[in-house]
Amino acid sequence: MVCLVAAIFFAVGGPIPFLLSRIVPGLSPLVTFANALAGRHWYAGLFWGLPAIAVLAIAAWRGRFFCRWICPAGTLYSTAALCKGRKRLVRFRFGGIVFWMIVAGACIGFPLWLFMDPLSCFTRLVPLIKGTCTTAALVPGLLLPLFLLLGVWQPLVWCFHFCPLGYLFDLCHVRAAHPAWKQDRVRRDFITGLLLGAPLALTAREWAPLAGSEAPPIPVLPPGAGDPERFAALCTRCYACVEACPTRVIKVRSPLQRILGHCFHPDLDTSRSYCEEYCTQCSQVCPSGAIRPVSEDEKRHLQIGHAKVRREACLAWEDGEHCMVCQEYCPYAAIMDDMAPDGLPRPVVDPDICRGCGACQAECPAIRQGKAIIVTGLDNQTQAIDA
Amino acid sequence: MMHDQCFSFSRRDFIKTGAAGVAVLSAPVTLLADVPKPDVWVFHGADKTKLMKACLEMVNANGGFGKQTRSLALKVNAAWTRTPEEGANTHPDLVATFLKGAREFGVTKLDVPEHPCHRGDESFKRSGIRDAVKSAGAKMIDMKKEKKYFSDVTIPKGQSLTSARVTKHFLEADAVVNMPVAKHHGGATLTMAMKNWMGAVEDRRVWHRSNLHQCIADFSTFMKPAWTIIDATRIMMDKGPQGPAKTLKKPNLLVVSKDQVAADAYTATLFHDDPRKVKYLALAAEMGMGVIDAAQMNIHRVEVGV
Repeated sequence: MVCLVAAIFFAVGGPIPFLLSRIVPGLSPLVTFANALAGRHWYAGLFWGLPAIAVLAIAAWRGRFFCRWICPAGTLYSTAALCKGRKRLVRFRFGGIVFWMIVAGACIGFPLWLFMDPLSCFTRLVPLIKGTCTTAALVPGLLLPLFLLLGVWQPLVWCFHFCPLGYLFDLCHVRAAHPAWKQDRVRRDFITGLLLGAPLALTAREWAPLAGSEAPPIPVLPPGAGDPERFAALCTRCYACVEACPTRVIKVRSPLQRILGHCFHPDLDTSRSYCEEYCTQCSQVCPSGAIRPVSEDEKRHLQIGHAKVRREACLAWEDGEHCMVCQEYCPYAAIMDDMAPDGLPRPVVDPDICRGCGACQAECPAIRQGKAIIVTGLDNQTQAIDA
Repeated sequence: MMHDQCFSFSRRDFIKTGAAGVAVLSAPVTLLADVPKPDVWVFHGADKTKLMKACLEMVNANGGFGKQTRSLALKVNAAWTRTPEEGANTHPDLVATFLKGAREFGVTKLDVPEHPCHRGDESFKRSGIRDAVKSAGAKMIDMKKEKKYFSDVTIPKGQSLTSARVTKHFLEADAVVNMPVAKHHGGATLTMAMKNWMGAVEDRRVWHRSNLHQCIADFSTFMKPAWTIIDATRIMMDKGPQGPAKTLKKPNLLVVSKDQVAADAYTATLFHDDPRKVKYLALAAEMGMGVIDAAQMNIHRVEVGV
């Protein structure tokens, strides 16, 4: 309720403050600790873990107090509950299984079901409402509206039957009259979750339905994402980075990635915009550590992709124009002149200097055969050298 | 105070000038009418504020911005997210001093519209120009955001470029001043005053697709500023227009003229021995837009002490 009011206040009153898009998903102890476990990094727990620990402490004392008073999704579902529906569409409580599947996934480094975190479900709506996402984002984004609709017939169906975070609060509620962790149900959830979770996470991590020639190229990931597998594993699809990116280069585009578990994560669409030299905003807002915090200097040297000239489409190589817009826009001077005999400069990329920011592709004026310089992602983000 | 440096004439110079005079006299009469000998002032000095003050005194002594000038639109180069020292943008001290000085000419409305290459929020800030404009009480307009200010124009003398969408302020102001920075440019060889007008149009990409050099020359047949003030206090010799340059020279010059072709041609000699190596300058000369030989200009050198 607190978050929802704040969100509506800012949505009506102007831009959403920089940190709000981080704080909301970052409140979730589930996201914070599952990712600390999965990413084998504990630094996130030092400072950003504090709110999450506070939330857990509240749960130990008051159970689902957070759900009712703080969780923005919970508040929305409570509103739907005012309709006083009496149907029982779902009887089984999946929340526990989902929770233990996340734990199992986190142990093997791929917390697959983290996208079920209600706070991430909520913030996922922001780019949808503001229209900064393509239709691909509708699928994960509609999770909350769907359950809102179901909640009209069966009040709070999400909260009590699906929410892994709510389940965690029940588990932690040690002062309850009948503590959840003493019940048989929890033992069953634990065993089912672990048995299902580990193989499912492994499958999602390894299975590549779109391998071979049909496979889309490796996406260009935000600076600090590391390798695609690490990023896909830790990203909760909260889309805080999409919201924070000042150039709107981070988008949720195609749901189709090479590997099943990589679906719906944000990546860089360098055909229209590019990653600015001095900007590190996405790495600052990422609540899950999927985009690791990078300093300005580190970011300036981070290679996130590779540019490649398509000579057949290039105005200089093919049409003999004095163009070199790619060189003009390259902040790192990674594009060299190849002088034609008549003194016409033609672009060549130095792969050791290129950061893959996409400025060349975004600004390339060629249209006849599409962009004449294309950036693709890398297996791993490494440090580039200076020109 | 202004000092027009007197050039002592040797006999050889006299013969040369005579020969040139004969050549000019023998040229068609129309050409003579089109090409009056342009004045170019070259100010030298390390202090940028004093350089611009000297420049403004000269402007004042040579007709100012014209009578009844109440509004002025200044075209700077604030396109790149680079610091003033890197030489990718016009130096902010020059911009601030110019704008403050222009107020004393009786100009009440000062606009600095710029269609930046990078995001304006970043490039205006890092270049120091946003603060410079603010300190002078003028208005900076980010044309990437304010697309509504672009309006259609036709360019009657254009060969490749016959129409464009141009920032309204440059069309409506009583006086227009162009204050670019001189630097190396990968696509256009050099960028100075004429090339700087690319930051006044909406669609630059079409220029690159349809003979960039011809488009630059074409647009300068349309856009004629009252004054052109080229910042050559520091010049990128390579890796332009954004840099960082491998070689950054510091000529500490301000090249000023009412004739943008002459100003560009003189500034080009700081980089190359021959302005004809810049194709759009050669085209401008061919099209009869002005002279590009320094020998055919009245060059006034002014030393501005620190």
